[in-house]
Amino acid sequence: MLALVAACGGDDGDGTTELNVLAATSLTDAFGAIEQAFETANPGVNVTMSFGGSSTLATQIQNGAPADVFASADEKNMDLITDLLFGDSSVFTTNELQIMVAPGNPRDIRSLADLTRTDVIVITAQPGVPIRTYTDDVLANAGVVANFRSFEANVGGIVTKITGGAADAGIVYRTDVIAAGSKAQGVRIPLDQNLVAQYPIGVLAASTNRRAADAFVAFVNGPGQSLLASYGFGDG
Amino acid sequence: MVLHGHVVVERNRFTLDASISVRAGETLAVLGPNGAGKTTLLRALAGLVPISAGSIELDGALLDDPDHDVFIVPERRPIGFVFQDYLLFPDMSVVENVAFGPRARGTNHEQALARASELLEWVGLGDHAEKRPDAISGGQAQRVALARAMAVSPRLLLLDEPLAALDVTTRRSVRSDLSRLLAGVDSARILVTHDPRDARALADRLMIIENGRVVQSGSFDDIAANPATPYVHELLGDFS
Amino acid sequence: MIDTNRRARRLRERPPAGVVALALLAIVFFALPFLGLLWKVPWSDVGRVLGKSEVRTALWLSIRTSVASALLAGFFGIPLAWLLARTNFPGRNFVRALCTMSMVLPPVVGGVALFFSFGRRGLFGQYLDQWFSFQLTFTVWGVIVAQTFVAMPFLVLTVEAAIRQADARYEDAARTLGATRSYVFRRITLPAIRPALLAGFVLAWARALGEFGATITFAGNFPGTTQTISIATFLALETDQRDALVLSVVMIATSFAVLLGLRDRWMGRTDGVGY
Repeated sequence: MLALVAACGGDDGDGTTELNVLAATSLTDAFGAIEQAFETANPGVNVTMSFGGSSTLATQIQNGAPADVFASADEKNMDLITDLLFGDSSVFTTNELQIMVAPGNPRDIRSLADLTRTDVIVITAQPGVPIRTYTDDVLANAGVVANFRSFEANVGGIVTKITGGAADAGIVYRTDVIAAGSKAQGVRIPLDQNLVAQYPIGVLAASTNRRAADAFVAFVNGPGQSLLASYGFGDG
Repeated sequence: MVLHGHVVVERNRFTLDASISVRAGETLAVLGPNGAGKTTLLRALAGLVPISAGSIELDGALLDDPDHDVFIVPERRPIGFVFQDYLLFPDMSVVENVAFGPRARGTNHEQALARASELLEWVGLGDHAEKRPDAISGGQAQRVALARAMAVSPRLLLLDEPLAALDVTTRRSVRSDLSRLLAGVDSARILVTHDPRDARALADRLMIIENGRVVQSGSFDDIAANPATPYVHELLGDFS
Repeated sequence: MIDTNRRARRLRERPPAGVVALALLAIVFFALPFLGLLWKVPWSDVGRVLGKSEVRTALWLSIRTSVASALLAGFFGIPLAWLLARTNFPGRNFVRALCTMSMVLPPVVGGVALFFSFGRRGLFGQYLDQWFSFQLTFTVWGVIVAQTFVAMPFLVLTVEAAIRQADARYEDAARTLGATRSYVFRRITLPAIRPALLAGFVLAWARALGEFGATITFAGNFPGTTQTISIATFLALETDQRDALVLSVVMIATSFAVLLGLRDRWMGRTDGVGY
């Protein structure tokens, strides 16, 4: 049992520290860059990133997945594992919500109200996924009942179906629109209807590398901020 | 001359190269050791194996001629085939087996069954019509196979070792039954066998092949009197 | 003579211990996961979960689409199996590999491939959209296409093997009686491979029933149109594990009943050689 714990994290014989970070899918590109920068600044630490839907990751943590740090795309999934955290979580960045549409906006989607049109195929994610929670809240703010055609497993499913041309519109993060490049474009949601996605990060109580985990969280809150901004996170 | 053929089949180092002719109403027995090419010859005549050279002509119609790009598919050749082991369709009753040919050629169900019943009477199995092939004896299966092949009124009837699957005790009586039945068939007949007693009882003329080549042909008595090879001598020596 | 008989009987009574030990381990390996699942199932919730209208909707959709997929797999797969077994054309092995690849592909990859070919902007799907204003994605047809894509290889391989083993001389006999190749196929070949046909259909059906990766990737997920019981089960694992466990048990019970029934009812004697 001891050997298992040691293999899952902690100091290897040669002095490198293994750090397992579970992060929301929408953080994939930004945290990839942060991983590199962090490892350069901390030569003794080897970070392993694992990306997935925040709800999937929360379930994995509940089932005992070996992890040191969890970065969620919403507060709700962080709250699910709050008992398993060492200390409190803290919001490290934010993301804006946008309506993702095909390049050139061929369906002429200008506002949330357009998501009720029957000639527009609107999709979202299944209940429990952060983007779905945000989408429901935004639509409720605007008093709009969208005509959904599919509930994808995660935000990646929404992006793939829109960039692949199967669906016409869906609410995603601004960072997703930026990452999609020329394959999609974003329609901004008016500030009075929109809300800001809060990304909390926390160190898990089960972590055997608390110092390295703390250092990683500090890095994300410090030098990592400009990297996050370059991918479209924050106030932009 | 009903059948005139020069059959060349090349397969994996083995070449069959045999000229064969059969007259109307005649039974030709093809004898030879195992692997001589007897079955291949029948399969080529039936169109189950295309010939690589030569030609096959039946009743003046060309069936197979690679040089002139002629190949008539098996189902359009007026040839009946009684296979070794008889190959009765296991999922069909005896009468359905015999009716299969007429059915396949578009005859309606009732007429096909009527024709099949006639043929079963002819081979003496009228009261076995509804039995399954696994419920009849080897000798009966052979007669069903004969009736099935005759149901499409072939101009040429091929019989591949029709007695080989039977045990020694029943062989003699089945052979005489077959001889009697074949006498009533107006098609030309080719009988493949490795047993000279079959050839003597059933055939008008013999053709002997070894290693894919015809080594001797003629009447039984002539060949028995003047065997051309050691094999023929061994085979027919007792009869001379 | 007596000696060999006695020896044969003794062999039948005592199979080699090593073989039995490994076989028992294999059985335990298959049994344990199901026991693990059954142990966790909240049995008191079964009634509540099965009473949910969305569960019934998903179950009904799964039944319809998996049966449709199995039938489609047979309609196209049986001729394909015959072609692979009874004809010899250049590139046959290539074609077999191509047509069975979806069996080993991660289903999600298969779904993406379908998406880029039959999707609204896909290689062929774009014409469906242009000519008929129709797209498979988000429809029940998309579900059937995805399930057929992953299920058909199971039928093709089963049927091809059976056709290969069937005695081709019966087909020869039928042809000499005047039957065309297609008549022979219907009257001789198909009846001869009936057990394998049924096995192929059931394997394809079971695979279609369990499929979710290709389906959600290609067709999406919406109650009543594209949310099959497999997708519902998979997604419920993240939101409501109790529901997911109940759904898993329903699927296990269904598949187990069918596989059991298949062996006893349709495959003929089970103590004989082969099927």
